[in-house]
Amino acid sequence: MMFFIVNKNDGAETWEYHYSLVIGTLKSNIMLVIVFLFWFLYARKCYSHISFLLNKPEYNSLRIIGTLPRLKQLVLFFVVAIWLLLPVLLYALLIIYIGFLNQYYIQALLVIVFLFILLLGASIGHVRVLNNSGVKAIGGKRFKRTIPVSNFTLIIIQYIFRHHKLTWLGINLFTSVILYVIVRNNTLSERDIKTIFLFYSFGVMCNAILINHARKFEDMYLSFYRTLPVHTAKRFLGYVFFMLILLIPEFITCYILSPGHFQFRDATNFSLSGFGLLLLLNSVSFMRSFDAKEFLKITMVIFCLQYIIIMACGFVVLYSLLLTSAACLFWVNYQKYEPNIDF
Amino acid sequence: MLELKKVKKAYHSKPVLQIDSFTLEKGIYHLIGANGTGKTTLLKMIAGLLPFEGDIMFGAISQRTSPIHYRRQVSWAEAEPLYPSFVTGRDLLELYRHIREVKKNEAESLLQSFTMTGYIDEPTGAYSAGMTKKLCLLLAFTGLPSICLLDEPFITLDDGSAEFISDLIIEEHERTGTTFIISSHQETDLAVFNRCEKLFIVNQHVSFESN
Repeated sequence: MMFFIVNKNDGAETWEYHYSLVIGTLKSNIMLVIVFLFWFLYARKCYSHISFLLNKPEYNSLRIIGTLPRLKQLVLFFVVAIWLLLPVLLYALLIIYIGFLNQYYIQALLVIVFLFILLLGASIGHVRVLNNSGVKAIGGKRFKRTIPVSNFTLIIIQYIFRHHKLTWLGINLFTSVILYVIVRNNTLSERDIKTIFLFYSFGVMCNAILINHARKFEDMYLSFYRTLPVHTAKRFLGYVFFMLILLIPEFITCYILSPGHFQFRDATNFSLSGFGLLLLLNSVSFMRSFDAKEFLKITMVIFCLQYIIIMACGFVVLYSLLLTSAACLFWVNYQKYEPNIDF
Repeated sequence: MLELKKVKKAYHSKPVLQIDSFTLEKGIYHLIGANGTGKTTLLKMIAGLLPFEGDIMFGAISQRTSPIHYRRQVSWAEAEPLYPSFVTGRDLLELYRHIREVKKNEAESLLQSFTMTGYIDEPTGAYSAGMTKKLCLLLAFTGLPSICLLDEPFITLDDGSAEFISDLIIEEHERTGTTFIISSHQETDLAVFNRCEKLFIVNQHVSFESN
């Protein structure tokens, strides 16, 4: 987030703004630990992604790298890790520079050492994955099962919580914390509620990443389900349940805040609109097989349309439109959807 | 009776199949065609997995107008099945059993005949290619409907399992009259190939050759 804040903020110029952010981070040990935690999570995500790719059959040719000396393999993966962590490393350069300039030597050194450990750890892990077929990301005991999942929707939910739990957690933390902090610390007018809803729906909209992952997973591993005699309405209800599970933290946050800081009506409006938005995105994903970029573009268009509707017509119209169009789109497109084109 | 009416399928505007009218009576059929001629596409279309122009009917039931009733008549096993690694064979069997409304003892008996009881409770991520293939065939035979579509059913199977599947196809056809359409590049000495009538896909059309 720091990386993308590049404009004037609260009257401060960009440099001054970032300078004060960095000083604040270096001064407070808690802030520094939080920053380290986010860097770690990002590095872990990158590590898991590369490990996943290395284990995919289409990347088998990369195993030829395993014939190189170990040190050379390590250097290659170190370079890969540098590229993947580039946004973090660029901002870290700024932190280190300001740290040395203001005599926060220990903190600046800690940043260097921590990032070096992240890069080295990822490289060692990737060398290990490359040379041991089937080794998964750290902590990724993929074959271990927890609960019986003889239900289509539960299989998808379990997939999300096994493979994308950090993404889900990050999205929900962002949305819930933003909502909680703003609502808790402000007296809200009707106009404010609509503005807050935009922040909230932006967070909810990030779940599009998970919907896209779920669609790809379904296309690859659960295509057989399309051949089974299950009514379209029952299939739709399965996705309704999936979306409800994805949004549990948002629902809880909305209702925790009401009636003290948030009217019960607003909590319901937020919950229904967020739920409708996800359901619509899910139905859109059945129009055709979109790649992540295309799906993101569509998501942004829906976000803009939502903005216009909320300002012009209000919540009831918005969630009614979202829910109705989600059901109609699903009904029209599900049977026509083409999961893949292999023949 | 399986009936294809004015069926057209294209990928990125490139036509793959164009079948004006084609009818199949009950039987065991061997679908033959060179790579890329559309064998799997045809099977997937009949299975209800791919959209297409036209209509496919089984009896009087149209896939387009009665998708649920149609799917009750059809089962499908793909050539290279993939299942989520954390799901067990038992989970998938239960999923099929509930949807196809098959009694538990019937499913257990089928499971035993497939000799899969030793690993059915293991996650599919721990299965070999052959074990996954057997699971896929087991699921296709669970609550076996009127028509069974098997895409390359014998690849990755050991000799014993291939013979078992071959005999099971013949037995089920004789017992219940189930129609089987088998796509296979290899015509081995398995008994089922001596019983098959041949279907050819050439130049986007299906033709029929009786034994």
